[in-house]
Amino acid sequence: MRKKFDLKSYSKLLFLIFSIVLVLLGQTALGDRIKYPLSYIFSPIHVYGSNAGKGVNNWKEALIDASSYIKEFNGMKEEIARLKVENSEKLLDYNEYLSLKEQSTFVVNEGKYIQAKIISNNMEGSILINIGKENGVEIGDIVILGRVYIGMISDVSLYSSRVRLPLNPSSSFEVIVLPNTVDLNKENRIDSMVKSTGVVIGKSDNILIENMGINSEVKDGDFVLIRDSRVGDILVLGTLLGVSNNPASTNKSGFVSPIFDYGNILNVYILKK
Amino acid sequence: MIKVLLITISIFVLLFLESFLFEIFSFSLFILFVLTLWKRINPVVFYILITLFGVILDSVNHFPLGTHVLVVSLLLMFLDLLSVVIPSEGKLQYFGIFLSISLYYILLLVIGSLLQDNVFPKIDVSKLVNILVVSIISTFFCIVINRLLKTFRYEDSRGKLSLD
Repeated sequence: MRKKFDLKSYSKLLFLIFSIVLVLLGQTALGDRIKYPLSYIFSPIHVYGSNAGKGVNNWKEALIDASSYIKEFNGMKEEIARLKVENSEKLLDYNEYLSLKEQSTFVVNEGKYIQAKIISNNMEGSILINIGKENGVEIGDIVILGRVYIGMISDVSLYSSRVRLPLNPSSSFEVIVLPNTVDLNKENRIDSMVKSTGVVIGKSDNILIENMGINSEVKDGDFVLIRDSRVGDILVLGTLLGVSNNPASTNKSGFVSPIFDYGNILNVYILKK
Repeated sequence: MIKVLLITISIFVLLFLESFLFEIFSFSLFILFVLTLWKRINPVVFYILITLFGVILDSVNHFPLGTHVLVVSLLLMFLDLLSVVIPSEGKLQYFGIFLSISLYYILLLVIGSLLQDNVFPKIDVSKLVNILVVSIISTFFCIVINRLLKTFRYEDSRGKLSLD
């Protein structure tokens, strides 16, 4: 007797086939059309939940580090009192000068900037920000903070975007290495100061720099700047660290220590050309 | 009608809790949701709910469409294979649940990265330890949910006659 086809016993296999079809569909333009309306409806809840979680997380970390905070707080109180007694007026003037200096050097001259807040950074070498297509963000836009390169937009929905950090394994750029004595705010002709060129590749927990000239005099602490056609501007990536000294090698390699700890940034700017 | 309304509200609440807990403990409620509902509700309803919630998670977390659904479908196949080796009843079933939850986090990391960036992610010891801890906590929650559901069933069927 012929056996009757039972749909229930094949349900998992059918679901697997369906999920593969869904993934393939996601690779086409139709995938974005499915994701946009859902993102429009559910993103506010996600952002609200993430922010609430972040708030609790901050309290959790504060409680864990409470003893060090108390020590630090007491130390700071003593320091502030001492400084106030010494020269309160000069202290205020100096702080004002520092903030004005920071503001004036904060932005690159050309282009339009869109400010964004970081929602979360829980993915592999990437962060989520709270602005998207609605604000004119597009895939490939550059995310900066002052003159420092933060990442590149890799996915956009209506109200949020994903930024691929230099730590991401799929992120690689051409870079130049400059001596750490260069004042990046003053120097316009940096070509004459280039010690070496190189390529940076993300390695999840650090950034690897390769292909630096074997005869170049690069050393730890030198500035690493991105000079890549995809980025456009010359932007600071970080400082050089752990340069290899293997005489048998045909080139030098090392690591780049980013200017900012990506986990601690709260706001970023998207550069629109 | 009331069921549709309840499901809609539940999805909003679950999404909020998923985002909230993931931010604090890297803990996913979605996998608990999958394991709790699996074999407890009508399979068609189960697949529809999982697909819907999975696609929502893909959209808000900027994963490629279908990542969560693919991970769950692979997980269900794994659970089926596991039932050959580990009994699906008794205390040993929780070992299977623990393995499934661990596999969920690993698969999500690997498939998400492969589909999004075409690279295999670096899974180091600290990540594995994190997954292990979160999986143990999730398994504990699964035990609590199972116990609660059994208690409710017992309370419901206390007044009824049985032929067993």
